[in-house]
Amino acid sequence: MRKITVMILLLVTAFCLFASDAFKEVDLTSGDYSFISGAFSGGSFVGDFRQVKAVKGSSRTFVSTGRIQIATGYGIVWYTEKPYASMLVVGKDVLIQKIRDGEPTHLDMAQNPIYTQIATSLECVFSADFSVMSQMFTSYLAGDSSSWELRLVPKSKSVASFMESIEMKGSDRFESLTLYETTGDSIRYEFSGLENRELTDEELKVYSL
Amino acid sequence: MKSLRSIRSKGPILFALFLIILAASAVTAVLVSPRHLSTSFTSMIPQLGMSESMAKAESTFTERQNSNVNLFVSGGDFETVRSAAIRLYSDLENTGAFDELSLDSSTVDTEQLFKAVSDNVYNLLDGQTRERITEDPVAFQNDSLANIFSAFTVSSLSNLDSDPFLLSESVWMNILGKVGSLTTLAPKDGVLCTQVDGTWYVMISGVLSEESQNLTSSDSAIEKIFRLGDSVASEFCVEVSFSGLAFHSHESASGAQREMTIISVVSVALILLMFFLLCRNFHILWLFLLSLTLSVGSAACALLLFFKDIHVLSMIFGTSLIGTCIDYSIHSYICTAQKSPDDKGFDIRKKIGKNLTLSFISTELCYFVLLFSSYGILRQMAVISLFGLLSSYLAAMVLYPRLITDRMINRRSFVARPEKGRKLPFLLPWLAIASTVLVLVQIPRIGIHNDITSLYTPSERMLRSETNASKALGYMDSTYAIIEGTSENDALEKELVFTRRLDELKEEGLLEGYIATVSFVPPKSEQDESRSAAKVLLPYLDEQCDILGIDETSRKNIIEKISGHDSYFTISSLPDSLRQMIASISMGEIDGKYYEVVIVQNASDASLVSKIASSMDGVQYIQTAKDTSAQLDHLSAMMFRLFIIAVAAIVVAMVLFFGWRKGLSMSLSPYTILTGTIGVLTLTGLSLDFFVAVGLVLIVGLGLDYMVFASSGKGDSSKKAVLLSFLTTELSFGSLMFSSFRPVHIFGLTVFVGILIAYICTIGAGRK
Repeated sequence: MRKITVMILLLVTAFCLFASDAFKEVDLTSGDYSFISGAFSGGSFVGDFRQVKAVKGSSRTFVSTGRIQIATGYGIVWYTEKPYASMLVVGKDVLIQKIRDGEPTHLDMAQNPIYTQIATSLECVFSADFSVMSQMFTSYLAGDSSSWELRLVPKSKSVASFMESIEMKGSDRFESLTLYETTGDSIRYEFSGLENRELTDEELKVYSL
Repeated sequence: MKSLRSIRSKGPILFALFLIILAASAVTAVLVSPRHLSTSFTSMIPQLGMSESMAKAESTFTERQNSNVNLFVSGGDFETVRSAAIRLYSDLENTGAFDELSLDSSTVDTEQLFKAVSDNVYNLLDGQTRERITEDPVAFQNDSLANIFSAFTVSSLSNLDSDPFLLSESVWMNILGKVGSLTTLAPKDGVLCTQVDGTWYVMISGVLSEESQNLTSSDSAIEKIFRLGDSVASEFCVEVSFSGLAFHSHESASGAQREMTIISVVSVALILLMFFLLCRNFHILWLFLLSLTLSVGSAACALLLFFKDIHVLSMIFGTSLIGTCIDYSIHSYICTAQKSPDDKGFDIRKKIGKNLTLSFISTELCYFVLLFSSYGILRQMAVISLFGLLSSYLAAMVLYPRLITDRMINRRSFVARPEKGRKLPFLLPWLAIASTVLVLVQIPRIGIHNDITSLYTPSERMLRSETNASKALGYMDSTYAIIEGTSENDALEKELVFTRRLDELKEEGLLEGYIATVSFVPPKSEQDESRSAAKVLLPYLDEQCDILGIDETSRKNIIEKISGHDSYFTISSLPDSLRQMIASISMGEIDGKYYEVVIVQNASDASLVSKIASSMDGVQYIQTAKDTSAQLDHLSAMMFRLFIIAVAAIVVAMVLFFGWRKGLSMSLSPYTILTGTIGVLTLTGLSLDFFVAVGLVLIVGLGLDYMVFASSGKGDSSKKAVLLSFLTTELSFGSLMFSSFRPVHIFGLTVFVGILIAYICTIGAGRK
């Protein structure tokens, strides 16, 4: 009974979403959506994040917090601080993981062409690189410059085999990003205190560990 | 009818023999199904130190590889390149030339792979993860929690109920890394592509059907593929590159075919002109054609009866029959042209019979010794020559006495005109000394050396194609090792040991990588170790489940899954897409044994890999070019050894026929031909390779014919016969030295030099 109710709710939500025509396919490279890229305020930034991982078929969620660092051309670094410390560097051809106080580990997966595409996808999304985003995703936008939601659906079959879609939310600043996996799981990143600035040499070192 | 009766009355036994050969030829041609014609240098050469079953596995792998082709469409704009590739793919599909053809199937179905990993996670832990668990299980538990709460995991957290330590993350990472090593190309918008130096490459891979690889068909599939590629290239303004052995074989074969046609037409025209000038009629050509048809028929019959796979080189060598047929025909014709008016056909045979018989026996001896070789290709050459020669001999002895009539001879021609010969000085010993000195001077440079890579120079187009393919695929050189096991698991166990040694080389930077089945399917011993490591985590399971909120039922299932002895993960457990990707290296069962192949990429020092392989049982490291060259060295050396035995046998035959003095004197001829040819060829910078050896067999056989013909009978007719034989052989075989196809060039040059020396020896033998 519960399943049926959930399904009906989902269907109604989906119907409302599309019937109201809230999301429209957009061409991000047209120049009309500078308010989205403006929310990112430039090429590199650092800030705090709160991450909520939701698992399909379960009410369990895994919440963690930490700091995030993004540099165009280098990649994204998550410094997870609570409840368990870890670090993850996702670059175009590098994947480095550091668990707790251990040594950083370069993962072989970075050589996988599918990984390269996923890394490129994430990087272009986090840095609002509209040109790459348009190549890799079909974009759907709802709202306006005061409050917007951007849904990205991967064009590549291989990327689509991992992620179903990405949803970004923001106003005059970038607020959250939810990654919906094909398995039914999802990861939501909520950002706060984002600071747009050049990264220091110390901060850049992490990409070449 | 009259002539047939006459033939029967003169030589019933020979005639019967001849009829048997003819009948056998016809029956064989009708009954024997078409055999496989092999064009590969390696296919007929057994690998040294390799068991028969291993050689069979190697041959199966090579055959599979040979049928694999890749086409690369490249250009600056991805969309244009993609459209061109899709169009080419569609065109290629319509040719029906491929058993398999794919534009993007080299991708792994991640959903299937994920399921396979999740279902077998406790069997698939890699060494590093096992070590981390057993060294400090508490730390590992904490790490797994950190992983679960980390920013991003590749594996799904929805499997935590069956995998609370998220072991699948390390397995998944490991496997995806290994899958990445299978190809550097990535799927994008329905094609498999890569971008190198600003150029996009889209790959179309295919497996050619057996018929498509037939190089002899006039409108071959390969030619169609070339045409379709060129058409798409010009329509879309992109470049299309063709990579695969089948393309090289086709280009090489068709180029050689064109060239051989030109050389053959020119040499045949010159021979016809010569016959017209010297004989003033073409009757001798009919004799030659008759003899040749019977010889080729007999040789083909014998070949089809005794061998299943026939090598193209054996067929090429079979052309030496032409020389013999010409020699026997010329000798019979000229002797008849210069006969006394009272002499009949069989009187002529009496006069030349002894010479022909001796010539026949001595040449047969040259070929007979090749029958004892362990090399199939040499035995085929021997069979072709033995039976072909027998037919030529029988034609000369049985048919020609009746067939060559006065009407066929123009009495005013050069060959029929009686001439008083002048006595020639006996120069043969001096020639023998000169050739010996030449060889002695050249000794430091004389050596048996085959380099198979020098035999073929790809065209500019194929060279560019392979350069593009290397750019796209990311590696230039790959060798391989074959692993033999008594079972699938035994082969995987051996492969694991071998690849661990390769890992050491990889860490030292001596190897770029390798592709092996064991990267995806660990052997049972590894899977047992994996389970043991997972069991170490059981005491921490409750705590982990409490933190993650996993219920009691799931806990019990996890314990059961880790502790129980479920079935092992095997090659058949792999998802279809991954299994297809490694199908060419996971060969499975061949004759009761199991074989795996490890592709070794860019080994900077192949001898190190070879050393590892030779230190293990059931592992054979193959470097095709190097190994084939070494085998050809061995084959050539064997031919030279057998050749020496044959020459010794000829000397004995000479002494028996002509007595000590004359026999030994005549034996100087093969000696001088051999040493002289080797000396001159070395002087030109050539090494003694397989094709030189094949040429030497021919020239010693033919050279001996000249000597035998010249040694008896009417001196003038013999001299003319030898001259005519010499000229025809030089025109037919010597002209091959103008070929740009290196094996043919070497063979032609050897024959040209050798026959010239043989003729000089015959003249220098000092007869009137």
